[in-house]
Amino acid sequence: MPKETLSTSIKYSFYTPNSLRRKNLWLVNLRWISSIALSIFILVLFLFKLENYPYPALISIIVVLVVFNSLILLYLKKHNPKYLKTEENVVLSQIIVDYILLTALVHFTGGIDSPLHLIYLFYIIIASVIFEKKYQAFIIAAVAVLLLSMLVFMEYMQILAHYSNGVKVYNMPDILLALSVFYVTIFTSTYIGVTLMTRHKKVKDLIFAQNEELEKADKEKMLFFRFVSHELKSPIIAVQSAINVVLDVMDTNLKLQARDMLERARKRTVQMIDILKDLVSLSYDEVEEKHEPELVVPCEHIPEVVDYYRPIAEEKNIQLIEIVCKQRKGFQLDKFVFEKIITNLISNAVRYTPNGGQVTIKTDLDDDYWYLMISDTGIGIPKEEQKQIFKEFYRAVNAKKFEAVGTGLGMSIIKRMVEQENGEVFVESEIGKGSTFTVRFPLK
Amino acid sequence: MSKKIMIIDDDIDLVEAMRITLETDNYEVIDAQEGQKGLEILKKEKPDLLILDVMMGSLDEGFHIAYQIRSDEEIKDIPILMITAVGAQTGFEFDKQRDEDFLPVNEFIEKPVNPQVLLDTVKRNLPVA
Repeated sequence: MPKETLSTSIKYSFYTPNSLRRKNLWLVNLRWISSIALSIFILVLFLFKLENYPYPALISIIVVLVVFNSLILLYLKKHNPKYLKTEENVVLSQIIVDYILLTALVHFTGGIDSPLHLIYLFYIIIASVIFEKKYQAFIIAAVAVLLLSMLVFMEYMQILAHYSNGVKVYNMPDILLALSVFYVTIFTSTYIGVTLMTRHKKVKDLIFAQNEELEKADKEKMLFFRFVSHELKSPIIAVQSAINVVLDVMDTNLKLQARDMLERARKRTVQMIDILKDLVSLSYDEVEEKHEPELVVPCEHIPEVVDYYRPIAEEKNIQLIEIVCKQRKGFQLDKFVFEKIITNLISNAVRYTPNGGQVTIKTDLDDDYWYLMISDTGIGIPKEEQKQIFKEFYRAVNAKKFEAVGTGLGMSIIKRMVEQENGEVFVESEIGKGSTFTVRFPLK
Repeated sequence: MSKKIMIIDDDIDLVEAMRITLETDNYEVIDAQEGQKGLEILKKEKPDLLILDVMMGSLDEGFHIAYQIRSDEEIKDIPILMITAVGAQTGFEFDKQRDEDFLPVNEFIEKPVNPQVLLDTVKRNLPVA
């Protein structure tokens, strides 16, 4: 794939109101966790009888944190993400309030001696993930540096009290050393965070662009299928019609051998037309517009399809068992597609079940899904091929032996149709014993 | 007198197959390979029944012709059988009941046309006179 097309195609969007909203909610969750962690931290200080810390102040900070978090959550719940700017402002206000609370917390637990000042690092990481522009993360870093420096300076000048356990001396060299380490750590982390994010975004853009290309290619492939099958269909239909006329209409005295050869030819045209139909319905699901979904009560449609297949099954002496489904539950589906899914599954089951076998149609319902299970006593699918059968043109080895002719499109068509309706299809199977295909649709 | 049946289809091999089939049942068969030309002949000859291919030049030429016939006082009562490969085209079969409201044809026959089905359908749709 040429590189130019990739870099010029649409990029994955990191900064949408929705993506920022997710990050806002993420911050809220992180804050719940840190409130708990801080409470434990304060409890530990208290249990170790470290009496120099102002507990009322510390507890008030946690209370403010919890109240603030609840307010933010309330706001987010009430307003849907609409504007980028609003979401950005919520992120910013979360960081600002956190910074103020954190600085107070650091102050009450020992200023530069407090291990809590490492928490500023979290915000550096968060900022490099959240903000679009690199400098924004650096501004957040600079504010952290400024806040801690001011705090330490004011404690040193004794404008603010210095709470400490143990060594009370607050001397200049120690402060300078601690602060420099802090500065270096903060800015290095910002740089690393921002660089990693930039790379991450580039990779994601690339994946996004490649995905687009693939989807386009897939669509083109389907259109090609469609074109080809259309072009091939007319001649083969004409061939079959001509053979039909000779065999069925002209009462000629054909030699038995000649009649037999024509019968063979006719059979092959039937196979070819079936293959072309499969090809077209495969491309149809991809390319064509969908029908409007409507309320479908599956149990009302199943008997019809089953009745249709009963004579076909009886020809092979296969028993079609329908476990009567009583659920009156309906859900939004494309009715035509739904009927085609059942039809294809039943016809497939009948096809790969030897004479005298059984095909059972069963349904089920739980809180989230409606299930359709079609089991047969057929030839089964080898374990290692069970995933493959959903791929276009794939036919299991034993299926080929059992039925020489087939397109290998049946299951892939079913899968496409099921997925088009937001459903899923699974298979369980044992060689020689049979297969069960389960389709499930979300009830929404 | 034998009934007259007209076929409009651009595939001459199909027309030939249908002609032979119909002639064995003593129908008189006339044909046209193209829609507008077909309409002219139709008006002149006034056949008892029309077999119309759904897709000729454009994807839905057959439908247009059917509409034109139905809106023409002179020929609007001629029964129309529409032969389609649309089932194979779109993956969805036409359904007479479903489409009756907006499709001005009497019945659909799917390609490839089975001779017996063709004869039965023609017989069923011929006006009783």
